[in-house]
Amino acid sequence: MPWRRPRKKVDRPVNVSRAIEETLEELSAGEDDDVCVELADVDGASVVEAATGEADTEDRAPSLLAQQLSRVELSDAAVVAPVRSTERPEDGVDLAVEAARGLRLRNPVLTASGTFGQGVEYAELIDVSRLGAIVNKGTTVLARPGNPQYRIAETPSGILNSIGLENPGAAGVAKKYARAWAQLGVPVIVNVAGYSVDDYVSVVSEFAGIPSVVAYELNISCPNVKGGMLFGFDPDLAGQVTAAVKQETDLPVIVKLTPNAPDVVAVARAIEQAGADGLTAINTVLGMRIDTRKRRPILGTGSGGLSGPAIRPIAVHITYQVAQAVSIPIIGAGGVTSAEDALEFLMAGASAVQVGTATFADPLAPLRVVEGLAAYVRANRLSSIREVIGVALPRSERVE
Amino acid sequence: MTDALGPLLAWADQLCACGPWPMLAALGRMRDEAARASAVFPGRQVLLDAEIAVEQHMGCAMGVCRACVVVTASGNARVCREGPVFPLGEMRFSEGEPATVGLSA
Repeated sequence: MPWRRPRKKVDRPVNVSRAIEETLEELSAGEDDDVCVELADVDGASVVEAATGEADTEDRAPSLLAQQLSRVELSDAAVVAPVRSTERPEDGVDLAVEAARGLRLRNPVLTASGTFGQGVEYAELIDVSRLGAIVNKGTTVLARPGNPQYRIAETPSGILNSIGLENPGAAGVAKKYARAWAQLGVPVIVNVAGYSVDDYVSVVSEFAGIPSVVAYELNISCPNVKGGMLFGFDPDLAGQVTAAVKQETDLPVIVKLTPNAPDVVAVARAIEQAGADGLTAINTVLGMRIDTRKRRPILGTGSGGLSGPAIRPIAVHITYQVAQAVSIPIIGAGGVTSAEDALEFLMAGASAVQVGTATFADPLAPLRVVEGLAAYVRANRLSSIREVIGVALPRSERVE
Repeated sequence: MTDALGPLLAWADQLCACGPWPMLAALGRMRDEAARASAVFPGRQVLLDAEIAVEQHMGCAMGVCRACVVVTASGNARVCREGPVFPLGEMRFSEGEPATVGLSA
């Protein structure tokens, strides 16, 4: 079937996600005679519209693109139909953990902020309700357009990024996704970023009362925003922002540590003393790549944050150090791609892990970690995954 | 490269372009001229309706990482989700390159 130019505004088909499932089924069943059309149908209304209609006029408002940009993924929260699995390899295995004080999750696998959007995008492909929790994209009080291109560059065993906290603002996110989150069937941890103590408090207040939101993760360590890392560098500032947010909300407050701080352990201690319920270790490591042909840095902002397996040993080490310095739970993050990697963090003292960069290469990576941990518990005849938490720590520091 | 377009525009039904950003930006300037010209300008409608397929460094290809955004008249758009084909008239260019920041999503 020849492709034709989109011509007329027609109503978007209501159940887009259903169309995706059907397409996948048809493809797997070998009915691939009309693949191009099917895939195009899934991708957006423009091609659906192509079959009918008349000439598009120049100054129609809002444009097709503007409509696309304003909608929630999968058109409308009311019709989000996330993929659900029936048989789960992790069923019957005790993977429950306390990822932060007062935050008990069904398993220790979370998604890392910035690598899982608002959760609805990957819900088209995987059963997100099998995850322990999802962490949304860093949210600021006001909308941010993000950083200049390029925003991403490949590195050995990792990615360098400088997105710049592009997001529609706290009120926008809360309004747009509250309903969709309720349908995902997975707890949501809101990642909060800001430039002042008041910013953090304001963002948290916007999400008050949304049932799916179970905790906040404070990003006091974004390397890609001017001033974004200051809070994470200074134990006093980190303590101040933690205390202020704790006053604003009754939900658990998790603070994300930056490996770029001169003394991460001191920052972690200050955050614990200020009342935080958990820590995430770690955010990205500062890095840079140069385009030798253009003789300038590849990233638009020059430097960026390195993530992926390249930083895993750094993250495991910081987890190991911080676990000996604080008594609140730690969520390990940095290059987790498999259950084996997750076990490294758990044994180093983390109570949960976040999978981030690995999801880009394999959207199933977070679920593979869940399954792998379940298999490990079974194979080693453990009563629960909690038995391995901190087992690699020096004997006196073990969490019993 | 865009010079070769002139005679083709007189009879073409549709213009689709894919290539280096400076070329797409040149097409964008041709479109701007056509938009200002009278209705009898050869190929005016074809230029107004032109579509371009664009490239950008991409992270997730699922719409979550926001690495591949380009600036359009309607705000930041993701090449992996809203694209990769955009109406030429939506795309914002800056000195032969894609404009990158300035509009919020």
